[in-house]
Amino acid sequence: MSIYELMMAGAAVVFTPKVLLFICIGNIMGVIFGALPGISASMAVALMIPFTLTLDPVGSIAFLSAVYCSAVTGGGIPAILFKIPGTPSSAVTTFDGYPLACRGKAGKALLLILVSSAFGGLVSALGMLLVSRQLSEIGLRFGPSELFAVAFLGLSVLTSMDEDKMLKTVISGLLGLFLATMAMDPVEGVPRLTFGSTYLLGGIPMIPAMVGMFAVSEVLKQVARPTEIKIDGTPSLKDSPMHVSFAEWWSLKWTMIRCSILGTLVGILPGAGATIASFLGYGMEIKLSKHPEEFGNGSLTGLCASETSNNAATGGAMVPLLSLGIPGGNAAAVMVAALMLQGVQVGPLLLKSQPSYLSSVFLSMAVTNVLMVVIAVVVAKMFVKLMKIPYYFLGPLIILFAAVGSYAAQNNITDILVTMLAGMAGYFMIEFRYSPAALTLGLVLGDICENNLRRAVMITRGDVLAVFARPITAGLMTVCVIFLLLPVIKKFLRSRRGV
Amino acid sequence: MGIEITVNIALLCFCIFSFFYAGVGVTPPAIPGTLSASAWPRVILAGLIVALFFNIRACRASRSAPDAKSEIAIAEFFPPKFVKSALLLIAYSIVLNYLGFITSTVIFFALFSYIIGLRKISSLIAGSVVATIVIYVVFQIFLQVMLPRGVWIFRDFAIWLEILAL
Repeated sequence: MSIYELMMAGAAVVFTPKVLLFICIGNIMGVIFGALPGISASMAVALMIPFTLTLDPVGSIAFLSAVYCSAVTGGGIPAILFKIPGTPSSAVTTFDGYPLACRGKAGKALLLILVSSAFGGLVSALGMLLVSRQLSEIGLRFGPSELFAVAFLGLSVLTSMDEDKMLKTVISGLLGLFLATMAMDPVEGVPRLTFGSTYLLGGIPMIPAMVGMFAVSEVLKQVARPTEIKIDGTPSLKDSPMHVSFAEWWSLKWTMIRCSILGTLVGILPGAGATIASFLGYGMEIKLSKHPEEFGNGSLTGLCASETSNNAATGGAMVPLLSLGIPGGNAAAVMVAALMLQGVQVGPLLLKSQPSYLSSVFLSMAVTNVLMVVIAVVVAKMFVKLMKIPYYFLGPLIILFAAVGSYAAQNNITDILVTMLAGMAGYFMIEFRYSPAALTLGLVLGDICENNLRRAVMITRGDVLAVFARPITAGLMTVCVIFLLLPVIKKFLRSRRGV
Repeated sequence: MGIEITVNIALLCFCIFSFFYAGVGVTPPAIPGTLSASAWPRVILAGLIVALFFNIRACRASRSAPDAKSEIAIAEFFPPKFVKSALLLIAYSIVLNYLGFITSTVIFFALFSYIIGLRKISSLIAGSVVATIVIYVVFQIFLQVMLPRGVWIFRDFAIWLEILAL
């Protein structure tokens, strides 16, 4: 089937009033769910499954992919306004988005993330359409050792996140990795570093820890040392004096292109996803930037990198799902469940027998990424109004959203206690210039690193050297070592020159 | 001794303890050639112990430097408002299980607003009730999240509300 015929088949499904209406509803619900802390993108997709029962299977997958894309974007709204990552993949958005909001540039930051997300989403959707089969074949070549190297590449950003406080950032990252080991051992099935606690058997939950580190710590900081957060009004392309200028967009062009490609590739990898994509994209841009010191202080490049990468991962995640029937992540797994509910057998033959799946998902994602900008601006305006609430109401409201959002993920009250304790730890870390961001990075990547390394060692029957001898792994690990050591060497040389 | 050094030393001691504790109860790997359950945590802990050691040295060096800034006083680091807020957060996460979401949230919200500086009783009551209703409607009714019900009459009250919402 030619591309033209493929697109026509997809258009016949997507551009019907019913499916278009559902895509619009999916967009609105996705952005709202994504913006609510504790409701992850996969949870948003799961919540929308009942709606698919009135649609045919191709329409269902088009609708669910619209929810997925918009939920990932929606997560960036509270990340900028309240430093609460709406979805785990928006954690990186808080690094530069919130400082911009504090400087009265919330509208600018919101506009930037919406357009960056749309760009990333469109590029990945296009990638999915054109090279779906080839990309998934590359992705499938990634075994445990390669996946370990990819996760380690994410950790290699530790030494360059804050070059002035390198040791403290490394300690924070290692602490995150250590906390990620406190759980039931995934391979042997024995409790490890749980200190007799049954709660810790499931590991330290990521969402409560993240929400506490970023949101609760910020409220505690405001309580201890209040600072005024300026608001520049509602984000608007036309009226806002804080709009993103053409020169600024132009300066971000390569960031958008690089992060779109990276996000798509990471999205294809099984087990990786939007969260890892955003960390990797952010790390890559720090390495490539001429002004790495601006990252974490309201850098437009950092913000753009994070949101472009995480939204690009959504298209990537659809690649193995559609071409091989393998869900690359949680949201894709929920979509498979939705298709199975309708009696569809997902597998490598799906696209051969019904190629319209691919083109309808592409068109749905394309429509979503354009519509999303408009819908998310409206939702963001509602959220911006929340910032005009006096802090004696806004502070406890943020805590409440953080607490209920953390609780909602597992319906476990202890998660709320973890959120509060993480908030206090985050306050300490901010006060003494440690890095909550690095700790979160360690917490997110720790599990993936360990599981894949152990699987890789198991495959090579204990030969650790053989794990790193695989060409892709060796290449990636070399890049990791260079990335890790370069800032250290640069700092050493600078200090010597200073002497 | 400064707060930072104290915390670093405590963390260092905990890491050293955990380094040995990580092996407790861990049997040798069932499959030959695999990494044991304690191998990865110990690698991380070894790195953390070394990094903390150097950090403590750096902290001590910066304290004794001639241009060192004065150490942050405990009262400055933990202002009374912060201490009250932190205790309230802990208390809230504990009492939720007993008083349920509605009662504990109304009390928590009012107390937190009071700590931050709101003194008007009518605003305290109105703010806490409205915020609790908004969160309840969004999460319990729209998103079907089963919020904590509490025990005894609080549980009965929560169930009555849930039936009402249906």
